[in-house]
Amino acid sequence: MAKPDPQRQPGTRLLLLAWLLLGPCVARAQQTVAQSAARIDGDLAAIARTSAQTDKRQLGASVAQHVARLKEQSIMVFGDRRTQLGEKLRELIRSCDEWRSGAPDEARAAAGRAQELWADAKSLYPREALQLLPPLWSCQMHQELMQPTAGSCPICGMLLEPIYVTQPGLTEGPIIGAAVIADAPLQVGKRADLRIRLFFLDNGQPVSPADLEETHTRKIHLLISDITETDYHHEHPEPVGDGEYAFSFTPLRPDTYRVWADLLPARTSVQQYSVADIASSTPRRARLSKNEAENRRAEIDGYGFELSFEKDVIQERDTVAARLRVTEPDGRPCRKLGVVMGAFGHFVGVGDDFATVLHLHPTGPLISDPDARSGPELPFYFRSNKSGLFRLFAQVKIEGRDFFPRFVIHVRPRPSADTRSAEGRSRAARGGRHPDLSGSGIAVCDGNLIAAVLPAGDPASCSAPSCCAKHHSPGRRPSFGCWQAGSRRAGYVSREGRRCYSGARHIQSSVSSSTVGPRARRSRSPLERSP
Amino acid sequence: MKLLLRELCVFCLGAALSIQAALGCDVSDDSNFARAAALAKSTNRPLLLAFLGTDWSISSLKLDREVFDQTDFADNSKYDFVLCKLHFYQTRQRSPEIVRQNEELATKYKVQEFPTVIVLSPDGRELGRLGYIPGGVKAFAAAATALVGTAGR
Repeated sequence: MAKPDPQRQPGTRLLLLAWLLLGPCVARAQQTVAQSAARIDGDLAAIARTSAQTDKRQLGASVAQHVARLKEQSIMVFGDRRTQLGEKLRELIRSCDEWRSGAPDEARAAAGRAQELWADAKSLYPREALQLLPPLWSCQMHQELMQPTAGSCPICGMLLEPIYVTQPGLTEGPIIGAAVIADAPLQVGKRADLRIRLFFLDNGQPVSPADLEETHTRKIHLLISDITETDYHHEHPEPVGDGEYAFSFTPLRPDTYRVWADLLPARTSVQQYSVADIASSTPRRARLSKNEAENRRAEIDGYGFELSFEKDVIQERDTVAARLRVTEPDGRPCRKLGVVMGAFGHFVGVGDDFATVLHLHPTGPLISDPDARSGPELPFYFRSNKSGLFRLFAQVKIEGRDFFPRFVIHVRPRPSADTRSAEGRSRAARGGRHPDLSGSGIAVCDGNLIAAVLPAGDPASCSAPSCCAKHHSPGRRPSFGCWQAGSRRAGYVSREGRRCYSGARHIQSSVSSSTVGPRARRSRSPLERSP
Repeated sequence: MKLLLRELCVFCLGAALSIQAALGCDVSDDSNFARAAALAKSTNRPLLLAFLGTDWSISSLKLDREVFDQTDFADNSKYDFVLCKLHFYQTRQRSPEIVRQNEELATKYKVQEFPTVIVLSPDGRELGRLGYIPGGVKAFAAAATALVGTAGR
């Protein structure tokens, strides 16, 4: 029989190559040092109680395999200890070989030696390296929280998400896909009856209600928005069989609508969003405004809705305590907020990428009494891991009617390490200290003078908190623009960015009302002059 | 004249406060070690080298989430450190250069347990070392600050 020529079998070669490349990665992902150590423990225990039926060859091979894997994974042992570990493990394998091939007395002695060597080898590891890391869950608002099981955050009530390094079996992406089935395109002002089909992405099987867990009294929350993020709906579809769920809503805009299905698969207990679009009968006319002004107030039929945050500036990955205050048409505090899906309110934020979505709830436990009332303030936590504009829709119920006030929140990017490093160099070079200057709304002058100016009508936009906090109270509009100075010269700018004092002539040239805001960052930076 | 006086007061107050203002903690990871060390030196700030068993040591996980990941630690001007997190992953592939760098540093500083935070002076002198300290940002920063203060930064 002719020997197969590997050069003529590219498929085989590719498979072999893939195995060679991916094999170690798969093994690495599946096995930790603690797991390998536990298996060696088990194998050595079996060796210690050897009987006539024991398959010595198989057991010896198992020890050798797990020791090899352990050695490869032991990234936490280095220097002299790694040398010692290597020696101990080599001797351990030798003892196992002696146990396998030796006479009964020699085998017993070799088994004892193997146990001792293994105990010595384990003592070279850091304390926690041989302990299996338990599955842990945390709150996206409160990163410091680590719970052993899935559930809700005891501080804010948000659903916990897995700490993935402790549960490598869970994937961060969605495991359920969605598609909207429409008999006809959407028409403005006309109720649309639609179905959403949910299916598992790995095998295409339909998702039944039993595959989902309930969150806030419902198994499926559909968050629906048009592309301008103006017309928002929150619907709960009903199952109609074969992984399909029926829902309806009346679009108020002639645009494409997007549906985010907020789901909690029973398989993972990890909250996920499955996204699907609904086409409109009219061509898309509107575009998402990237430069919409921040807006924290809304009014619907006389009812006032006002958002406030504990920090003036909201940065990405920053958990910020927030409140929604509701007032009656006559200005009195509204204490009639009813229960909507187990809470006195819901908040849904849609990012300016028309993809990121936040689903937030007021703090506190689920409300089981449907007649309970609250108000005028709803405390909640806000956090976005992404910067940009967020259209935040609140949903509250007043006297049986749902209200959806719309707000616009600006989440600013975090200063990059580069910016901080450059700032640090600059600071050292000048011998002075300056606030962090990244973020919009900051105007930068020349090397000796830095001015941060708040754009008119936006008291919260200065991202130099270490500077600003000293000059105005959080939540209050400062009497003049925030400022900062070098070691020898100083100045400040009026809120409108038109005046300068103290001989700071450079401010006048680089800061004007037109350069305040993102363009202001293009001003010549003192950091560029740093060595 | 009154206006001029007011402006002069604002100017003086501002100049005084500007000297107090600080950046907060600069947080980076092992891919930026060289830059973090250079930054500590150039800005005359203590360098914290945090050796973390990120995916196998629960104390490391706690330290990272309770302290290093907290915005209060990164943004609060009281915590004027440069922090470099050195990750020792079991389940994630890293570049060989980073793995070698981290091992060399761990060997150099004789790291035995994880997490270990080596507190270095701006010129690289070891001032002391810390592990996981319950109590979040305040407790950890107080311990680090005490080490820096004791050594007479």
